[in-house]
Amino acid sequence: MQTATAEHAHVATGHGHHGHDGRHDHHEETFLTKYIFSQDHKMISKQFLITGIFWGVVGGLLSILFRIQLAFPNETFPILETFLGKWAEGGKISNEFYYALVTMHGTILVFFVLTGGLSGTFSNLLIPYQIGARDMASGFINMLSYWFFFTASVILFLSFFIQTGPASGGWTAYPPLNGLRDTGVNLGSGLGFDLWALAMTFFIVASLIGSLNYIATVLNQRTKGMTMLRMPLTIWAFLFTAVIGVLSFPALLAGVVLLEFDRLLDTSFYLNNIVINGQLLGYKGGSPILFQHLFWFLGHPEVYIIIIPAMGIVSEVLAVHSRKPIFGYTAMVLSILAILVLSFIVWAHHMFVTGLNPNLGAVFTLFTLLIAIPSAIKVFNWIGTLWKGKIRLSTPALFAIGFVSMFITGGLTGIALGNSAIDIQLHDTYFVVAHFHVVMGVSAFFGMFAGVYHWFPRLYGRMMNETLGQIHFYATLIGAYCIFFPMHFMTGLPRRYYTYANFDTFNNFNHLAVFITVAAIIVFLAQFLFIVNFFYSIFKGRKLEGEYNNPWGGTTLEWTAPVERLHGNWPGDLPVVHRWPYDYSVNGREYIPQTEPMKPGEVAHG
Amino acid sequence: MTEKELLKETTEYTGVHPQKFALWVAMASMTMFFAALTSALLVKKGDYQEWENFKLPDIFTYSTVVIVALSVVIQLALVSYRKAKFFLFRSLLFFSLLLGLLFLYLQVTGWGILTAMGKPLTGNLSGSFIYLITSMHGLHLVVGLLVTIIFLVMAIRSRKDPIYELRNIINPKRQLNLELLVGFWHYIDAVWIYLYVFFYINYQ
Amino acid sequence: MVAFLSFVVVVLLMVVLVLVARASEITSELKDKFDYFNQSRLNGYLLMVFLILMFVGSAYSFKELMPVMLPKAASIHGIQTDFLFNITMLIIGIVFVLTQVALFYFAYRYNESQGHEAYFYTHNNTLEVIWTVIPSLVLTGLIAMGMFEWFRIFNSEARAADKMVIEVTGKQFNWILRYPGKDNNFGNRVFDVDHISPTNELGIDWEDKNSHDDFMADKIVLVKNKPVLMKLGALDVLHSFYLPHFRVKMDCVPGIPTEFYFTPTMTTVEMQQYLSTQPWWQTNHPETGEPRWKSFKYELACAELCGKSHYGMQKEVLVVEQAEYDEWQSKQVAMYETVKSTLAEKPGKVEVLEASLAAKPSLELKGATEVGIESQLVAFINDDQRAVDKTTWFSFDRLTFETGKAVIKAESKEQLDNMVSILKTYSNVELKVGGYTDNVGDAKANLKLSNERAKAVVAALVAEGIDAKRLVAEGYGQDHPVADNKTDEGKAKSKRIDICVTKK
Repeated sequence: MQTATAEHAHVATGHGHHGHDGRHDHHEETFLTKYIFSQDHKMISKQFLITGIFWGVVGGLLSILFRIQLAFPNETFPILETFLGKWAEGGKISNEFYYALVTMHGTILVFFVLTGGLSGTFSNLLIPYQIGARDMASGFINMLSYWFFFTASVILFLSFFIQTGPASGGWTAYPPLNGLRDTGVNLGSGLGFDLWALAMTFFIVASLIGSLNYIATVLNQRTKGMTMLRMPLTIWAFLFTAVIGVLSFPALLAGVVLLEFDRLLDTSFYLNNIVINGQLLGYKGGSPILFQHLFWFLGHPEVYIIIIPAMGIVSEVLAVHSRKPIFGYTAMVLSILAILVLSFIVWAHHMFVTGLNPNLGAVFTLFTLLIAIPSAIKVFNWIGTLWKGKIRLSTPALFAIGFVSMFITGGLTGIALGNSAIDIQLHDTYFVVAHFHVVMGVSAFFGMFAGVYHWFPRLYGRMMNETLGQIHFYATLIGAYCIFFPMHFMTGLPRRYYTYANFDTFNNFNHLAVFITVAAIIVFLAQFLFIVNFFYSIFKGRKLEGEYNNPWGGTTLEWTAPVERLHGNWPGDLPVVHRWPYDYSVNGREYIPQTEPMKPGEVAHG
Repeated sequence: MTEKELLKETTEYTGVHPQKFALWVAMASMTMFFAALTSALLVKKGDYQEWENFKLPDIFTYSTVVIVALSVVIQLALVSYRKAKFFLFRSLLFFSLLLGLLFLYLQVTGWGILTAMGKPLTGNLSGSFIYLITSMHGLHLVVGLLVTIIFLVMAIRSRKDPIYELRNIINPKRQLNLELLVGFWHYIDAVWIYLYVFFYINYQ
Repeated sequence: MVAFLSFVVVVLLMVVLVLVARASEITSELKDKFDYFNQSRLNGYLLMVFLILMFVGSAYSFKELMPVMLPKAASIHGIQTDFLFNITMLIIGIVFVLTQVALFYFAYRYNESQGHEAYFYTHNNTLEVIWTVIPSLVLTGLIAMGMFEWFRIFNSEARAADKMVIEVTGKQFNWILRYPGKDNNFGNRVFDVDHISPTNELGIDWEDKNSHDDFMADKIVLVKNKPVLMKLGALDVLHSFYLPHFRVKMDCVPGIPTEFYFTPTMTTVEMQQYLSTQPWWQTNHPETGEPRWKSFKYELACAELCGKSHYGMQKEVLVVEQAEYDEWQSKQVAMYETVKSTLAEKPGKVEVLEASLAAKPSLELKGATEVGIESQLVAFINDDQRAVDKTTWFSFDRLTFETGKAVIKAESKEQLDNMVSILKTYSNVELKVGGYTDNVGDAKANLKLSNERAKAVVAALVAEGIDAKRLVAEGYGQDHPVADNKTDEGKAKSKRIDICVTKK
């Protein structure tokens, strides 16, 4: 374990700062202002993390429930009725509830866990620390960002308990299924969907105002010497992610607003020539495809909003634990920028079979396959980082490596899906489900775990249990591959089917369904190894000794702040940056912190 | 933190106060929202065979004039504040609030006129879009109004109480807030002008 | 019981793991540092073991699962898209192997226990260019091949003239399959309340002669090597027309027709024969006890979430030779045959008119036709089953005005006189007269004109002695067109005077 030497604060050489105390706020902190309505980025980051963990458990549990139905479609489990009541009469999950489960699983995991829980946690924690700022541009707005997220969470959670149940028309919320409030069409398209839309509105606002802070802070509050090209890759990732979010979330909001107008006020934005039970409804002129365009204009960038922060984290973790610079820093920055730009022009690859003009389909295929290239570059650079490193295979490093493995597997199958002619057969089948779970679900989770294990000492001044962490890693890695690798072979199998019993064609994978479900249950349970580890270590984890401590030997600024979490982060002046963040194993030294001045004759790397 | 204090702490920045920068980013985001709404209109107009163009009621021209006036007045309020003419500041701020409320009133009345002339919310899509887009603009405006009201209340309460005044009105942080608020109003005005011209062009 | 016990075992196992982990860290705490060095050595080995397991597992998956996947494509384009898929998977398979090996091998070979320092190497631009260009080239190749096939599939100009056409309409939770019959033409569908009803969900216009030989079927029947154009739609929510064996998928969108054109290449029997040579298909089906290939059939499924029974929209698809198809078709009963008797059964125009004429001999209607406004109005008045409402309107069919004016032309006199007679005979009846225009010109002016015309009609009736209190006039301008204003015919239909009975 590395203990920090005098590398931390004695670098304030001649830059004219007055030696005033960095602690600006001498106000009394109440329990409310310190733990609940905190405006401190570190506390807000923990709030996002813990809310994210809560939703992760809920979302995972939902998947176990519907996987039970998929594996054992002909069996009953009385215990289900005990817990779920009318939704599982006779011990079998009803078809209506099944669709609510898959809808809520998607919504919760994509938005609440992997966007709120991932970006919210790490952007908040790392941006001020790693760029050398006291806090975010606006602590107040930051606090609001969490509490809107919390409000969204409460509303979504409550929707489980209403009489008609939560939204059940798919996380993609397509009209007319979700555009007709009449419960005859779909039970979950009643009040449950209105609550979904309200929760999503709060969520989008939370995400937008969080992103405002991230961008404003990164661009305006870097400390002296911290030029853009001396920022760690985590910050680049969080910055670009925030930019994508700011520009794409409004489209989803617009789509949902039009949908609620159709639902509540009987407009016809998405509805035309609707016949229900032989009765022609009065809607005229709308198009369901309009919604899909608006939805996927966010929906596609959304997956990059999820994965880019994880990529940034992995770049950082791999460098630190390999004791080697990230390979190709500039290429890594440019590739995120390329992904950012391209992510806005590929959305209709989710719509290849909606009857859109084939020329459009062609254009979107082209850009979709192009976006594979910057992603591939990143993979090669990560592997290059490991090459000839001196890798400490700690838990964070293991998860980072696992991320790369999963991202390769998932990303490659995207190449088949992105080619429109091939997508005709694959669209809305389990091949798609396998693809996005591996490339986005599992990968992003691995990135998140790498981040939590790595920065836990920064969050709480203690270490998580390594042994338990590594067991968690292997169980999840092996288990996740067991769940999703074979799933690719279910090529023709349609998605969102409660049972395949009505079709001869689709009845061939029943044994595989059981295997996948069992693997899923084991992986779900294995996550409790993490949860127990996490909460236990907050109070009883191995403490970092000394006032300053850099347990992993990182070069970046967050390790130059004291172990104790202070308002304003550094007790004295802000650190001054003299070099890029990847001086590992250079000139015989294991690492050189960014705050160490260049020696005469020393060449600047990177 | 004031701009000055921030300068002391960080010297690598874009030249704009971070919170002002954040407002610009927020404007980009809101622009995307209105862009999405107006694109949806263009798509539907192109698609839908029975789209019915029509002339917008004159009341929307009046409301445009009102909101431009609002921008002018609230900018004058800011100028008064900077020149420490606080009575003028309060009055102009109050006048801005009235103009904002008048704008909303005219918009809602405009809806009534639209319905009466055969363009109800649930009628032809061309009509529906007007309600949709003006109501979304109106919601943003309401947020602006709420913040303006808070400001006004603080400004009024500070009249006889110099200590209150110093804590809540006359300090650098509050000036920043006010500048952000005025910036936001100019933006909302600009969005309305865009929408007004957009409707004019596309409903011919 | 088994499930419960397994659950308990797993939980206990986890508890043990936690305790072991805790114990192992206590010892490292005493040493004041966790032994990353040796742990890295162990993990290096474990990662290599994982790599090997991953490849073994993949190979095992291939072996077990490939035979169970869908059989070869039974359509022309399906063969091509399958080929594209296989090529793609081959390429990505190679990349998969190379990158995973590099990743895990490096983690093993360069972990800190292997005893060397890290090599400070920041970047290599040549390498970046190489691994940008090569993937770009490969992807470009895949895109090109994909595009070629994509445009071939959707090329609407190169379609056979003698193609079959079948209309498929999705609804919660079934497929309505309509065949055009021998004339290969579908009867028109009209989306208005007059045509759409629970017994006519498609809104077929029975007055269109093309509809008279259309028939419904409970399965899709196709002819080997004969191209078919599927005309797709949906009534209520999104559905998706999915024929897995033919590699066909296209969304069914309410309000927007879509289509998919393809050619089946193997009859059901031929596919069964092919499958009888495949090992997995030779094994016995658990339900029938017979070899699986014997009960093979093509199926249609829905591939877009459409509600709680999305998984239940199954229909059989049968591919046969032309002769068998012709025989099947000749046995199908046209919908019109079953429907036309009900059309006649309704207390219809002919009977009611005659009845009412019998009842009121003084009612003399000059030139009135069976379908004219007079008959409709009288039938409505006499039909006790039909209540007064705001949505039942009848159009004057022999009433004309001077162009752009509210002056009634002389030729309208006969029908107006008939209206006067009816109103005098049925003295309780009150009417609303509505004026409508097409969408040519200024909306305000049209509104005014339609108003004036309605008023002119009322004035004409009042002039012949009808009490003005029984009549109301209103202009609706361009609203409520009854046909597409884009055609002249449609415009002509929209320009009209309608009446609605407000009291009878």
